[in-house]
Formats: sequence, C-alpha cells, structure tokens
Amino acid sequence: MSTIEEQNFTVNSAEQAAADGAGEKAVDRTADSTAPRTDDKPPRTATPAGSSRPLIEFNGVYKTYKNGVHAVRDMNLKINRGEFVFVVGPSGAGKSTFTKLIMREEKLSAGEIFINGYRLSTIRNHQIPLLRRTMGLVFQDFRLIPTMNVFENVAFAMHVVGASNAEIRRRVSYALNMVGLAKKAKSKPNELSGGEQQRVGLARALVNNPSIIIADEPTGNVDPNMSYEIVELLNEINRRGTTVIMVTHEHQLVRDFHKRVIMIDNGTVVADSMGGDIL
Amino acid sequence: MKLRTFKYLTVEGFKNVWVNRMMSLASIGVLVACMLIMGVAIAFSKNVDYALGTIEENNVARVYYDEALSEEDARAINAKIAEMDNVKSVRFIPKSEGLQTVIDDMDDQYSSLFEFIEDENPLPDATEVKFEDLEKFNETVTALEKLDGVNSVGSQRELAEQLTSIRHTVTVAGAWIIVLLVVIALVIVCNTIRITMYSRKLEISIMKAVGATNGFIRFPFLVEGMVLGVLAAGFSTALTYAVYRLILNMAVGKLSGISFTLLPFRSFALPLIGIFMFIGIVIGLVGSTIIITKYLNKEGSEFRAL
Repeated sequence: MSTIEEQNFTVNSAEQAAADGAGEKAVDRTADSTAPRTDDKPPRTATPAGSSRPLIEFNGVYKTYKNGVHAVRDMNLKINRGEFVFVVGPSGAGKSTFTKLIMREEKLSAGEIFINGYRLSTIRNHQIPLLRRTMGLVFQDFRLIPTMNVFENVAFAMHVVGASNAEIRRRVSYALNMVGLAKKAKSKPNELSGGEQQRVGLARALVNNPSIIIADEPTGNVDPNMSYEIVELLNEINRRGTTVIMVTHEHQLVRDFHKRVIMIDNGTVVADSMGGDIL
Repeated sequence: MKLRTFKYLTVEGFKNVWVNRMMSLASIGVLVACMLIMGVAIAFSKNVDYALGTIEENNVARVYYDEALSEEDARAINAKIAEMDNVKSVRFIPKSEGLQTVIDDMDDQYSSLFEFIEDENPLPDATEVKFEDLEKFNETVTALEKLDGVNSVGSQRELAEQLTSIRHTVTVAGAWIIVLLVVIALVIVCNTIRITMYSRKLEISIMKAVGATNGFIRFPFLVEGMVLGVLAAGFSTALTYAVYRLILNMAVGKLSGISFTLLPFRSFALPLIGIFMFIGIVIGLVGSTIIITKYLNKEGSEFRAL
C-alpha cells in the first residue's frame, strides 16, 4: 500500500520532468513491474483477479490544466482489486481531477496511470470507451434522463454496450432488485426522492457488471439518513467483489464505515490509512 | 456494429425527430424554403432550356451549291454533309422546290410573275442543315463553306451565338443559386442540429460515461439528419409542384397573346425529386456529422458539463 512518497521534485523541476522525461519514467516503471502488460488485451483478462498488479496504480502523476492550475502533483497510489476506498480532502484539493483522470475524462500531463490493464498515458482514443466499460460511475447530481423511466435509465447503459434485450431485462431487474427499486421501475426520476434517484444511479453504474465503481460525492444531494443507505449499498456491492472508490467530504460516514481512506490535499496524497483516524 | 445496436440506434434516431419536433420542424422549414427556391430555379432553367431548344430546332443553316453543279453531284455532297460532325439532320432542297417555296411565300399577284421562269430557275440546289450543338456552330459552318461545290452557307450566326450565351448564363446562374442555397441550408441546419444536440448533452455525457463509442453517439444524429432531409425533400417537391401549377395557370391566363409553352411539371419531376433527396440527405448527414464530431472532439469535462 502506498503512502506519501518522498518528493524529490520542486514543482518547477517536476514540470520539466513532465516535458522531458515523462515517457521514460513510465517505461522504467513498467519494466519494474512483474506482470507483462499490453494495451490491446481486454482488461478483465489482462489483469486476472489475484494478480500482483493493482487494479489502479498512479505513478508520479501530474495534471496541469490549460489555465496553469496544477491540480495533481506527483500523485502515487495503488488500489487493489476488491478494495473499498474513501477519497477525502478539502474542496479544490484535486479529488475531482483524481476521478477525472481515472475515467480518462482528462489526460494526465506526466507520470503514468494503470487501470484494469490499460496504460492511460498511451491509451488510444478507440480504447477509451472500452476502459470506461470496466467502470461504473455514480454522480453527485444523479444524472438521470428525465424523460426516461427508472428501467429505461438503467437499460440505457446496457444499450450502449450492445446488450441483447433479454440480457437487458435480466440484468436491469437484477440491478433494480439490488438497490431495492424493483417496484418503481416505471416511475420517472422526478417522482422519486433524492435517495431513490441516487439508487437508480447506482443500479445504472453496476448493471454492466464493472470491476470498479467510482462514486463522486454520491451522498452530496441526498439527505443524511439516505446517505448511510447509499454507502451501505456500495458496501454490499463491494462485498460481491466490485472495487469501490467513493469520493466524499462527509467525514462522519467515513468514520462509520471503517475502510481505507486516502486523503488528498494540494493535488497529492497526504495520508493513506485504514479507518477514519486520519480525519 | 451489431445488428441489434444498429436497429436500436435507428429507432432512436427516428424517435429523436419526434421528441425534438419543434426543432425538426424548424430544420425542415429551412430546408424546404431553400429547396423551393432551388426548385423554382430548376423549373425556370428547364423551361428556358426547352424554349431555347425549340428555337434552336428552327435555327438551320442553308448550304447553297454552285449553280453549275448537277443535281446528282449536289446530292452526293448532301450525303457527305449528313456524315459530318455536329450535323443532326440534313434535308436536300432541289432548286425546283426552292423556287416553289419562294413562290408560295409570295402574294398571288406577284407569284404569277414567276410562273414563266420555271424553265430558267435562277436558284441553286440547297441543303438545310440542323446542328447537334449550337456551341460548335461557327466551326461547322466554316467546315461547310470549305466543301467543294458549295457556293455559300446562309446562317443566322448571331442568333446562334445569342442563344448559346443565354443558355450559358442560365446554367451558370442556376448552378450558383443552388450552391448558395445549399451552403445557406447547411449553415442553418447545422445550427438547428447544434441546438438539438445541446438539449441532449446530458444523454451524451451519460453515454460517454458508460463507455459509448463516438460512432454510437453519432449514429442517431445521422439518422435524424437523414430523416429530416428526406422529409424536407418530400415537402419541397409537393410545394414546388403547387407553385409551378400556380405559375402555369397564371402564364396561360396572362401570356395567351404570345405563343409560349411551359413544360409540364412531370417532365422534370423525377430529376427534381432526385436532386431534392440528394441535397436533403447530404445536408442532413453532413450537418450532423460536422456538429457532433466537433462536439465529441472538444476536450475536457465531458461527463460533467451541462
């Protein structure tokens, strides 16, 4: 498990490294690794469960936005298959950028990220959708399509990957059952409470059976009682084998669930431990 | 793409036309307006073409043979002319027929004057020549003049030149009108598609988040663009027909003094529908492709942007 690494760079020299040696650095680190890695293999076979390669690995990652903001600097961390990780930190610390980098919503500026067998510094555009299919994303604002009912909202994610109608019926029912919304399949999002809407979001995230669920402030728009339920659901999903990364600023939840906590501040990992004791 | 994905996306495209029906209507309206102008321009140029064709039909050159030439020799040259480039048809006019025509054209009081000279016909044998292509009028006439046994060639050179230049003008103007309208239609359709697309930003961002390929996201928009194009082509054809009927009726009423016939609509309906369909589909496809590709290639905040 990674902790805070010695920072040998000042920010300026790090940028130099980003410009000059990013590629080399990445190659070196790959050479160190035990498991051979190819970008072309499908992710689930590229990194079989129990292999020594972590599911998510950040090696000296930098992200500088076009406006000059250094959102992430020399971030190093490893998350293994089957873990449940809380990511905490003050606003503006780089939590959002962290999830965006994982989803490849943003390109990294320097360093290397490995996710599920994909090397993000060199990932091809056509592989990005495949990478994202290995993850389920849960948003703070639920992101449900208002004109579709609950069933259709969840099924939507399966149409994208070309699932058959039979598969869709089976999987969507399973996912809705799991989040306890089987009876509300025909309801429109605006007929549901915030907690229920987020559970639809969760069902959508897990319907394609991803290996990682990334929940970005999933309880942010949900009232406190419901928040607990949402995390309990994520915990249940995690117990069935899915890796869960939950970004949150609700420290009470983090303390209650006693999971691994990664604290990000100023664009880098400042603490990484089990339980909520670092808060 | 899997067949079921293809089907699903095609249905989605059709649905989108209906779900965004106000926007669809706006797109179709713009396309129809442009195509209607195009249709009128095409109808106009077709009619000018037709009218010019009729005039050209009658614009013949007359080849006069040397007076000393016997009728057989003249007929031999006539046969040679018929074989020449750009010659559509020839008609041999023996000198007797020529004289008869002259006499027939005259008033009776004068024609009697000519009756006595029938034995001493002053006219030469002649050949009436019709051309394939008036643009080569001059070259052909020059070639005719160079033939042995040909005395002179009578032609309305200026008329031929004028006709050719009118046809040129109409063709070039028509082409420019179409190009201009296609560009205008494309720009406006692009804007409409842009608006429909922004209204579906949420859907697109979710599709991207769950791993949709760009092709998957683009496809329903292409279907939508195509459907709009086809619908617009259909409406435009109907409207052009209605407008043309109106003009036809007015022309019959007002221009009855002049012998001027307009083409019936059906004589150019098929190419018109073809052009409309082609333009509609191309504009729909190109418009959606440009807009959606531009959007998808934009960097950053693709899931969260709303």
